[in-house]
Amino acid sequence: MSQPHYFIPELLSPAGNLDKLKTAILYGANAVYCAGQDYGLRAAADNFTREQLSEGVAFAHAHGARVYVVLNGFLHDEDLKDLGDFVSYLKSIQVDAVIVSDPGVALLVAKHGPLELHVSTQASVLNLQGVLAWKELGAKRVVLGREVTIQDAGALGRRSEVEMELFVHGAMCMAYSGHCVISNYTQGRDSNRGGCAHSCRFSYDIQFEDQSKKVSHFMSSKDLEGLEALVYFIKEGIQSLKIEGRMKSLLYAASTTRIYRQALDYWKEHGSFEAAPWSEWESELRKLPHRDSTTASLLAPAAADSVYDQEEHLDSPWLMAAVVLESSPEGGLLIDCRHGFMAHAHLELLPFRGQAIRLDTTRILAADFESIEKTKPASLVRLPHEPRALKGQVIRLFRGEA
Amino acid sequence: MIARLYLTAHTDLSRLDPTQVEFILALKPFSRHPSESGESRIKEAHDLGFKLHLEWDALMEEPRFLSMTQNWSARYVSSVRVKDAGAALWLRDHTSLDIWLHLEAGHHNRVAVESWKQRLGDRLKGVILSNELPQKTIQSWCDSLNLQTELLALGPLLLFHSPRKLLSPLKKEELHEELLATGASVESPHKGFPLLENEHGTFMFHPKDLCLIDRFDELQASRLNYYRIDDRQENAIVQSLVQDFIRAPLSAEALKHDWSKDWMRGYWNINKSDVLFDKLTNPHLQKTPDIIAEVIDGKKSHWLAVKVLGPQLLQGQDIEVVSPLGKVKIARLVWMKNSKFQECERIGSQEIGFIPWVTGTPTKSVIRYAPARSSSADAPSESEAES
Repeated sequence: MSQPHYFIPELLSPAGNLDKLKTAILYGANAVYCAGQDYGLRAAADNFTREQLSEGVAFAHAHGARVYVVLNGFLHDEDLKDLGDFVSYLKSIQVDAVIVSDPGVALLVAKHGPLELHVSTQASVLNLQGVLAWKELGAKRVVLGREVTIQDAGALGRRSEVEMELFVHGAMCMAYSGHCVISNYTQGRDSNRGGCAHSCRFSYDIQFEDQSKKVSHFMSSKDLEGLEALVYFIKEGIQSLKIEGRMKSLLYAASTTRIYRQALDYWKEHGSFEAAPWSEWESELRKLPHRDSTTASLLAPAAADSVYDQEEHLDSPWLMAAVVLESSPEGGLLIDCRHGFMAHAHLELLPFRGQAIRLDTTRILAADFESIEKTKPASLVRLPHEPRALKGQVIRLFRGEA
Repeated sequence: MIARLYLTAHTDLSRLDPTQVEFILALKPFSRHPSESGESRIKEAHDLGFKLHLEWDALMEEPRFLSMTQNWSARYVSSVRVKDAGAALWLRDHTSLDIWLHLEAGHHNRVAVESWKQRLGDRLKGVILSNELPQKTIQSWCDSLNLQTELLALGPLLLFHSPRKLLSPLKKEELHEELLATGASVESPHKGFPLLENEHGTFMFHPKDLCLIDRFDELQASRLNYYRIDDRQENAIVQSLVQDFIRAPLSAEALKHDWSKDWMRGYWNINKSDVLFDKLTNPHLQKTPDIIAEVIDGKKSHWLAVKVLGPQLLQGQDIEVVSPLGKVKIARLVWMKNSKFQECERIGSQEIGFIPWVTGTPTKSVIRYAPARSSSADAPSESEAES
C-alpha cells in the first residue's frame, strides 16, 4: 500500500535533560524521548526529576510535540516497588507514551496508567509474531530491532496494524539489543539497567584456532545514518523515525533534529527528493563528532563494512560553543559558553529554520561588560547583538580541520 | 531435581536413566549453537523413554522466521524452549507442544513471568531462569510461580550475540561455516573470551564457565525442578564425567578438575550490578524541587551569574549554595542585577541574573532558600555573603 506524498513520519529526538528536550523541540522534533531518574538505560545521563518531566511535557505540548518516557530497563523484582506510583505520576502530567521492553513493566503500566505503550528496541522484536505478542499486551507502537529492514518493517506494520518505529540516526549496538551482558560480568554494571560500559568499543587481540592473530575493534559498529534511506521510510509508511543519543550534546540534538526536519519538510513540500540538497544536509551532519556511517540493516542486512574497526576518535572540526540566552541591543548577544574561544573565532549560529549564520566575534565581553580576549567554558559572554538570534539556539565553533 | 543435557554424538544413552535426565536437542536452524546428534540417535533416545526438548533460541527476522515455520517439523519432542516472544506466540497458535521460556533477556521480575502465564495458559510448562538472578530470588520464584523451573548449573555464560558476522571479515581469504577464536581486551585486563561465529552471527562467552554443581544442596534447596549442564564444548572424557555426576551427584570435584575452563559462581550469591549507578551521577547536583537557581558563571570576589529555576529570587533573601562537592555556604542577597547587568530587586523564573560572589561555589552549584533562622541576630551579614 503506497502512501500519499504528504505523509511524513514523526521525527523523534533524544532528550537527555530538560535543555535538550527544549532544544530538540525548538529545532523541529515532533516528539522526544527521555527518562526519569530510574527505569531507563542511561544511568549516567542527567535524566529528569518529576518536576522537570512535568515542565518538559508542558513545554512540548505548548509546541505541539509529544513526550515519551523510557521505562525500558530489564527491571528486577525490587526495581518495581515504586514503578506504579511513577506511572501514575506520568499519567497525571499527561505524558504521551511510555517505552518498555519488559512484559512485567507493560502489565504495571496498564494497571497504574494506562498510558500509550511503545515497545523498546531493547525487546528485539524482529518478526510479525513478535509484534503480535506485544500487541496482545496493548502495544500501540513497536520500535523494531535494528536488524529489521525498512521494507520488512513496512510489511510488519501493515499486517499487524501496529505502528512501526525505526532508528534513523546515531550510534548502534552491535549485539541484538538486550542480548549483551559484557558489562554485567566484567564491570559489575548491568548494561540492561543503565550501566553499559561500552566494552564493544574496545580493541581486542583475537587468536584464531589456527593460531593466526588479529587486533581489531571487531564488535564496534559504525554509526547509523539513514538520511539517504528517507524515501524508503516514507514510502513504507514507517510512523516514527528515531534519532539515538540521549547522552550526546546539545549541538547533536539541535543539528540532527534540524537536518532531518529540513529533509522531511522538503518531502512534505515537494513529494520527492529529486532536487534535494543532499550534499548540504550530509555536510551539516558531518560537522558533528561521529564515527564512519552506515545504513546498517535499513536496506539489507548489515555486512562486514558496517564494522568500525578503528580507535574511537570522535573529534570534529566543529564544536559545541554556546547556547543563546538572550539577545537585545542594550545587552548584546548573551551566550552560555560551553567551549572557550578567542576574539575573531569562527562561530555559527544555528537558527531553528534556515541556513547557519556567521556571528560577529570582533569584540567579546564578559557578562559584566568587561572586554576580554578569550572565553572559558561554563561562562557567560556577550557578543555584538544579532537580531536573528533567539533564546535556545545553539552556536558552533569552527576550530579547524581535525 | 532432574538433569538436562544436550544430546550429542558422545552421549552414552546406556549409562543414563530417563528418571534422572532429559535431553535438549540443539538442531539447525533453531539453535544458536547447534550440536547435531543425528536423527537415529534422537529416535533411539526417544524410544528409550527419554524426554526430548527442542531448543529454539535463535532469533529470527521475518523472512527467516517465515521460512522456518513454513517448514516446521519437531518429531519426538515434547516441548520447545523459546527465547523470542514471537516464537512463543507462534507455538501457542500453531502447535500443541508444551512451551518453555528462556528468561535470559529481560523477564527478571515475577510480573513478567505472570504475564506470559496469562497469555500462554497451560501451554507454558516451565521457565529457564536467568543466571542473573541470585539464589534468594530463585528460591522465592520457585515457591510461588507454579511453573516448573530450570537453571544452568554448569556451562558457558553467553555475554554477547550479534547477528553480524564479525570474525570472518578478519580471515578474508577463507570461507568458514564456523569460526572459533579467543579474544583479549587491549584496553582492560579481561582476556580469554571464547568467540564463535556461525550462521546465526557472532557470540562471545565469559572466559570462565558458570559452576554451581558443587553447591548441589543449595540448588536442591532452591526447589528447582531441573538443572542444566551444557557440555557441548567439552570432550568425550568430560562428557562421560558429566554422566557420572548425573548418576550420583555427590561430588563435583572430578568433573570440575577435568572441565576445560576455569569456573565462577556468577550472581548466585548476590546481584549488585546496579549499586554503582548512584556514583554515575552527582547527588549534590540533583535538580530536586527545592532548587531555586543554579550557578552558571562567576567572577571571583565580584559576582555569581545564576539561572533561576524556581519562581523567583528576591533581594534580601538568605540562600544556601551547594557546590558539586557538597559544600554548603549561606549567603544573603544584598544586591542583585538583571541579565543586562542593571540593578534590580527580583530575578524571575528562567531568567539570568547576578548576585554577590560566594566563595567555593563554582559553576553548576545549586541554590536553595536557606533554612529559617531562629532570630534576626542569626542572619548572615553582608561580609559573610562575600566571604
